Amino acid sequence: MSYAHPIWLAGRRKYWTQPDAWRFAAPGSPEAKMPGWLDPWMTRVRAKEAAEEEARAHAAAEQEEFEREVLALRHDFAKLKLEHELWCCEQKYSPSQPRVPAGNPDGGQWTSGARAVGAAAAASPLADAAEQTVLSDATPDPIVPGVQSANVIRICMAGTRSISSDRWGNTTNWWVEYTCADGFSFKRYGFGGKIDPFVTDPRY
Amino acid sequence: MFDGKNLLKTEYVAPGAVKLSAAALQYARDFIRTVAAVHGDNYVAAFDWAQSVTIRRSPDTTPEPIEDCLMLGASERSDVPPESIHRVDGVEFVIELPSEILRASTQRVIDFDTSVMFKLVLR
Repeated sequence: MSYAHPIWLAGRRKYWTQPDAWRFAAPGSPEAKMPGWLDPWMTRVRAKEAAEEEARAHAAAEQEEFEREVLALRHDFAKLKLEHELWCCEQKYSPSQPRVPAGNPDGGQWTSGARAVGAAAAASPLADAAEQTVLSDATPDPIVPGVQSANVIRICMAGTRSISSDRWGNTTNWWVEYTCADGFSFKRYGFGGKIDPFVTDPRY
Repeated sequence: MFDGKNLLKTEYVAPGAVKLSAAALQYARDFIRTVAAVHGDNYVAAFDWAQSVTIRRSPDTTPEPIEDCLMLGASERSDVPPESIHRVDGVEFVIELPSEILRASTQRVIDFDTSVMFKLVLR
């Protein structure tokens, strides 16, 4: 390679890097284009990139909308499931369901209907005649004085959850969202331990 | 991202170390019977120390944080160590508390209190 004096090189560099260097280039050469000039091909590329970006944004918005709908459906499903289970529970244990009075061998046990209440009351040595009412199956059970009613506790069910574990598979931290009735829900974080599938409704 | 480092680690309380008031025992009995009515008898009541809880009053509202509190849940029997199960008057339950909270308790009694969320307090 031939020797070029450093001062000469610096001069050429300055010449070709000056802001209006394009003015001194040979006409028709790529260097003769002024700064900011866009080749038509480049313009097409940029238009294509803009279209692709718009398509991506559109797809992302659609995906977000879809995920939102899935979440809403999951919430509705959990709510329906909970309401169904509450309904099943109330069918089995209504708030007015009586218990066998104290003093009987089965004292405190829940009874299945009016016949059991009547039988238990009849068997009770402490019961007086007024309380030994045998009720018909055709009429709803009244609340018998002295008979303790069972309480139905409202429950919330574990729904969406996230569990992290260490390299040995032990649960480290987690969160779980409990769904209750009427759209009420709560989220609980935990460290170690376990996730209860059911908890009491904090409002009642 | 949540990493659980700010939470206290809970441990099972040995049977007899913490007692239940009559109302709390009744509450646990009613709850576990409610669960058993639908899901079978394979559950025991679980008094857990709940930390970092946020409630959402409806799906379109912002979550509100509440103070750490006792919560009553139902655990599958197979998930809890058998030696940790308390048995009082026919009710089976476990208690999970952080040791710091247990030490701060003066009476070591879980009571029913309608003025707080989840209706349970550790006295």
